[in-house]
Amino acid sequence: MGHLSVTVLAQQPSKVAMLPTKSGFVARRSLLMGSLAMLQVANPRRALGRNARDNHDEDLEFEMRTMQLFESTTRSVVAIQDLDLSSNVAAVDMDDGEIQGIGSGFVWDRFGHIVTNYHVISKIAKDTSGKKQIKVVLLGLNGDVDSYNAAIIGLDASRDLAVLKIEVPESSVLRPAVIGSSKDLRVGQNCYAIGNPYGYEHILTTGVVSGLCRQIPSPSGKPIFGAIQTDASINAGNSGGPLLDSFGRVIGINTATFTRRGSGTSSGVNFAVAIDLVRQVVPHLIVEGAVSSSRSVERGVLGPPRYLSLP
Amino acid sequence: MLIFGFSLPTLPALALGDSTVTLEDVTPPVAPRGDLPPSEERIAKLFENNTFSVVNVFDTTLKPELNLTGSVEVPEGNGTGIVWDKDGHIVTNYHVIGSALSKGLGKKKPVARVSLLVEDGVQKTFQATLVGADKTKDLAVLKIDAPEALLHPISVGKSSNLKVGQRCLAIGNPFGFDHTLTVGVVSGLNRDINSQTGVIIGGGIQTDAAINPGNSGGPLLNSEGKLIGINAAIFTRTGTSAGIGFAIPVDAVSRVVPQLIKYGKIMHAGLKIQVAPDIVAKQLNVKKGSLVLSVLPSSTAAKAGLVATRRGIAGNILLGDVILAVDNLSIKNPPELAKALDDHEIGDRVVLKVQRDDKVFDIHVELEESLN
Repeated sequence: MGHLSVTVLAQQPSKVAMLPTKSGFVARRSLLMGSLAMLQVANPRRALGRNARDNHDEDLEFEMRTMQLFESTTRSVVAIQDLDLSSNVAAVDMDDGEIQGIGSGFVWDRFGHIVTNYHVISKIAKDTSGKKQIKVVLLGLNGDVDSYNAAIIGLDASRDLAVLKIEVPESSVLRPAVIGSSKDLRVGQNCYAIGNPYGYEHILTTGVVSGLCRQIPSPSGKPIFGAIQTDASINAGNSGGPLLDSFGRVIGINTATFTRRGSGTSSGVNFAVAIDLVRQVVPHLIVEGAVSSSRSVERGVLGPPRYLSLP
Repeated sequence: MLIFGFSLPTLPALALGDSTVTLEDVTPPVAPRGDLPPSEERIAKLFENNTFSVVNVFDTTLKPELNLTGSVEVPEGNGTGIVWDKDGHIVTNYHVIGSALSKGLGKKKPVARVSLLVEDGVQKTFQATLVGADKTKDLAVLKIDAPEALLHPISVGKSSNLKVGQRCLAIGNPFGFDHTLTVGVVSGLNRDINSQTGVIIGGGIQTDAAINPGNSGGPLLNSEGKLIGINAAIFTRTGTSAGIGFAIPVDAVSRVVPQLIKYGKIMHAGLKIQVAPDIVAKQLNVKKGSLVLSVLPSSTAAKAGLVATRRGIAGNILLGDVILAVDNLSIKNPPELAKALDDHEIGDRVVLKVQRDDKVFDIHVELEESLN
């Protein structure tokens, strides 16, 4: 889980802020850091006419919507970092250690709970030396970037989920993510994976929902049911961060990419843990620290794979 | 980063929970959403309408392997197929059932298992028999005995008017994840595909929709849900998608499949001649064009006067004709000659530009079924 040389929006440039259209590409590489001229977007028109102007407006709308979605969620997506003090024997000051970005997470509620993947923090969680500290970095009000010590509150290796808690000076610093639902997802709709590997640079990859109700392995070896498959790139940088729909709601947690053993590179077959499962499990992780091993949570929440009836 | 097939031992619980909050406090509401934007709705509908035409093809001569950690390694023989008609014909790539084909399983023998998608996500599996296959186009046609109500033939489009930049959708079974949708654009046209069968297929459509092992034989659709290509190959250093995928254009598929269904094979237009491979041509100092080594006596090429390479009285080699161009399309080597002739139909008359000794002249010849 080393450093990624990634810049804003550059993870997969061809998938960001570009919409393929019948008339060719509309390429706009706009920098999303700092202030953006925010255009108010009117309600999406139900454009049924297919003339060039409608297509162009639709493309413009899509771009604006994507950029707006990105902007409005950046405060909810946090960086998860590992501060290693063991390199400095006489470390007294917490800032004297080595910091390494290990993944992303997002703000769950106003109490300071942060949700991420279990595998993002599992190494630290197992460390018994006491010389490792998890740090959470988020964008506060006024564009400040702040780093907080995080405590592990709950762990669930079988669903690759973990909950951390940070203490903030005032709750307005926190911007809880807007939570959606995964049961009415449709294959083909857009989705956006956001990460924050360094704390001050958000990354965005986009794609569509490629498949639903997939089974993927968890760090404990047991399968995770109901996972969302997407062709939006998921990698170490956005792992643990949210997968959003076009409405800016969290529909999953970016968790894994299918990769040929040894290659380490993404294949366009990526997975997110479904939000309906997360929403059932996380409150228990917060209050109790763990979840009972029964699988009734999944059966009630996820159901069998759905297909629409034939046309 | 989670990599499939790798599992960590479970952790003793050391998380104690947060006693300052209740379950209610930390259960956020679910925000509602409106209707999907029109563009997303179109793609979702496109997938829903066409996914029933896409099937899972499994080469029955391959066995799945289990690696040490217990996760299943998906063998290459798992691929995708397309329902072609209501008779139960399924089109896929030759290399998807390559193992069965290389074992010499004849026609009408079961070579694969095909799974059809039925309502409510249930898959029904059928034995598939081989109807015909062609290595040079990397296509194969199978037949299953399924009730008509379960067969939803794909809607066939055209590839001659494709434009770079237009949207395309791929539906397939990458790594065994059935009915996966990936979306991209047409990245390039007229590409040479290095097919897994070892042949170069021309006119390939390049796309950046993620195509992976398992997608082979599956459809590439345009934004109206019409078939524009059959996904066949990817360019990659890792064995997985790198954003460069290739599909056999549907116009080629439309020519080949009816022949495979009717005759069980394709008749390639060509000449009943043998030409010198590159190494031999070099030794004989033929640098450009295709050197004719032999001509079948009763062939149209012989009737047209094409001269083969032969030995002189003194035992020396007398070079035969060198074909430099077909209908003004210059030919640099034997594969180009084969491709140029194959682009025609049997019975077409073509003009060969031929070099004999120091003279260059034209030979008119009628194409017939090629030798190989």
